Amino acid sequence: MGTDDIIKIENLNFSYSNSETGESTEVLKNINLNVRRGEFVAVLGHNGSGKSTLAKLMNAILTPTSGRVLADGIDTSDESRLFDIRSRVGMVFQNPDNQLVTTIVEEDVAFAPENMGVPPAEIRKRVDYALKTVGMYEFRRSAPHHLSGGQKQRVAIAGVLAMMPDVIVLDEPTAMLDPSGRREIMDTVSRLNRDEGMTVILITHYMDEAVRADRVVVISDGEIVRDAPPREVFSRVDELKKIGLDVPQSTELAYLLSKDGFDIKTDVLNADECTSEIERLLMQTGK
Amino acid sequence: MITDITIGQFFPAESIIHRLDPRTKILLVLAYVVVVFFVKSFVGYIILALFVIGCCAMARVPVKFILKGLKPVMFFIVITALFNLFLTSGGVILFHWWIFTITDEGLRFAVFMVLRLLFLIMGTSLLTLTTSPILLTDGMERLLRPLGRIGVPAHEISMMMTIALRFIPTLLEETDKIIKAQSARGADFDSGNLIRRAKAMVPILIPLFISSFRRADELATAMECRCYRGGENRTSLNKLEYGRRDAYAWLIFAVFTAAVFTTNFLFAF
Amino acid sequence: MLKLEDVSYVYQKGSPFEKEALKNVNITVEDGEFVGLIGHTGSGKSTLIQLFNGLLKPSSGRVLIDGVDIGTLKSLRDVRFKVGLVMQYPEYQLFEETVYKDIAFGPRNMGLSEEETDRRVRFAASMVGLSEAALDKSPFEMSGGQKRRAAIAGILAMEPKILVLDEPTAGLDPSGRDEILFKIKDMHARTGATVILVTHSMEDVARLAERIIVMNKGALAMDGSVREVFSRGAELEKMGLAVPQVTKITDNLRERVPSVKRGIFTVREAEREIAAALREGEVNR
Repeated sequence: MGTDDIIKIENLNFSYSNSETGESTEVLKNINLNVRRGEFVAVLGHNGSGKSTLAKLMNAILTPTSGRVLADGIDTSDESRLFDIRSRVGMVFQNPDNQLVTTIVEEDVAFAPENMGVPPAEIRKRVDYALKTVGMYEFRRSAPHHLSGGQKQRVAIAGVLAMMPDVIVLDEPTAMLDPSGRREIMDTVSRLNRDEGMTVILITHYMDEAVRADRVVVISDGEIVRDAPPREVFSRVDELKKIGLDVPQSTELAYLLSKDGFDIKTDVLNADECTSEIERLLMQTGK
Repeated sequence: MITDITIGQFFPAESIIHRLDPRTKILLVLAYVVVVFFVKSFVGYIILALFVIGCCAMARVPVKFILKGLKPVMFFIVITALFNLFLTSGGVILFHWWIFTITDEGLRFAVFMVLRLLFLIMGTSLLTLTTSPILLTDGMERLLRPLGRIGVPAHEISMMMTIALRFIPTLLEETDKIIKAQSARGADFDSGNLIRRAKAMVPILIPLFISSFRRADELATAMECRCYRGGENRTSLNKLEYGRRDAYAWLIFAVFTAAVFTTNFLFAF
Repeated sequence: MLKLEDVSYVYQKGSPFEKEALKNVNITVEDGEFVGLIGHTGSGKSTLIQLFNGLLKPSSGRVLIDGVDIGTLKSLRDVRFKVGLVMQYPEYQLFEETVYKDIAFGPRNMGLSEEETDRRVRFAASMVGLSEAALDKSPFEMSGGQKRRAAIAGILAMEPKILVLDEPTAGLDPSGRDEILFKIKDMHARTGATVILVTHSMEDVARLAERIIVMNKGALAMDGSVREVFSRGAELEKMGLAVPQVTKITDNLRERVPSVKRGIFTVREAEREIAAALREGEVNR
């Protein structure tokens, strides 16, 4: 048990082959990526960049065409260990409606531990823990269709937490939510990482979500084009825009001002940081 | 509207009937259905009525609520009654006009049939009204489990029921959205003859099918990711346990059954 | 012209689940305007747009289109053709074998001739940037972004005088989002149709609309030009709506440099204002 890297991806290639024409389409090329225990990694890329495929390779929904993926040291191509992999690498998907199985919240959270054969008393403990962690305990007897999108998605996260996984992979968990739902989920995810020490891999195309991570991996056309802390990634405004991604307005503003010849730091990520940089400049100029 | 139907709906309340083991309730309802078919006199029906009303009171479900649930099936009941009324031969002719003949036998049959159907529906809806869907499927699964040896997929059946119950509200909502979206494109669902109307359903049904398949596919993946592998070695959050109250329930039911059969001997009418 | 007079809407009236979704809303939208409609989930904006084309009928008040109260009309179909509504995730309404046939569904329901239908289908397709080749494809073989465009074309082909779009960019990535918004802007400029864009994104509205209507708790909270609305940043945040980051930055700076303009919402404009303030400081030194 327990290497330091919970996910290890080595020289991974993945291609889909069309069963009718026999043509194969290369989706991921030469991916090397390690995720350490306790890390919060964001995988940023536009639609069709291959980022969701990468997520599915992490818990053996898909297996590599070549190269290998190790989840907690287990090769995902080893079919006999499938359930060990799945219970260690929890997966949350985009549409909250399509991942809740039962008609009562707590029953749904219990679904995975039930499948794993966990004894009833232990299931009860896990369900309560998971629901409290995502802040949905008071809704434990509710029916999913009476909940908001953000609430449903939090239940989905609880359902994965109840497996007591080593890492949670979230595949665009906020794409179908409104701003308040997105905030709910991002706060939950940040808290999970910070307070519970959960390793988090967040697949997204929203830059404002990626800025919360320790590390941002940018994928474009199936290849990793950058792997660095958010400050470093987002200060390369031109590069990101070229591959169809956004940068925070604050970062873009600082970038434009520096191009105008002002001596401003360009690795600011939010309005407050940007404001204090500009204020610093104003002080220098005597205002 | 679809939401008016109370059959199959759960009526959340705290009552002794709600707390009964779902297996007890399922078996009792099955036994009750059999007994209803053995009632042969009006006195028997009076006992039946008292029993059902008594159960409602214990379950804290208003009788009015159950009666409201009968509305959608009233048409069916009336048709059955009319068939029995006119097509039963034998007995004294009470009324005759053109091809319609009513005999006292027919009248008796028709009334009995209506009562029988009413009590069947009232009794069985009491089961779903007092048992949450999840407990109901749990109970079914446990009851069917011994049949697993002869190839009855007990776990799969109950899983299918759970998923169906979970997705009915989602799909109703989706249907509503699609109807609105197509109406916004000028789709007309209310005019024309039967064939035209059936054709008008296509723009609703196709998107609904496609989205259902997509949902099914995504759900299957999500279930696999949560270590689902069928019923093998599966445990359950809620343990089902027979209690003292289940024994009492059977006892009361036995008394009721005995009463019904006694009336069959004592009263011819 | 679209006009709402004192409109209220109550869901499930008379039942214990009764819920007032809209109260006494008054809105007038002139022909050719580009209006952004914002508010968070539950603010009543989804109910509002369903009143525009008669999918819902107001519990009280009147909805007038070109001066006609649509509540008095026998058939609402003509209203649907006049007020085109693109619902959220509209790709789920696609059902035909080919994109062409699907886009033609609306025009055919209008009873237009084959030539006119053909013209409209091709025009609508070009408007959203779908190629001729795409028209013969099955909509179910296309990518998410293309499906979305085909679905929007299905409404455009009815050539509505008023086009209402509910979150047309939901779930798309930044480049997909920009493309759709650009096409809508372009369509507005070319056809002169009225556009009402419902969105959560302040940045999107700021880039496109001339006027913003803000809904909050079922009531009209603000109605004014983009600059007017964004200069009330604190109020917007109280309603749970995030103002653009540059609006926040320039608001913060105004405390120190009062000359910085109010209601700034684009990065370029913020850059100009701040650069000017910084240079002025240099001159003063």
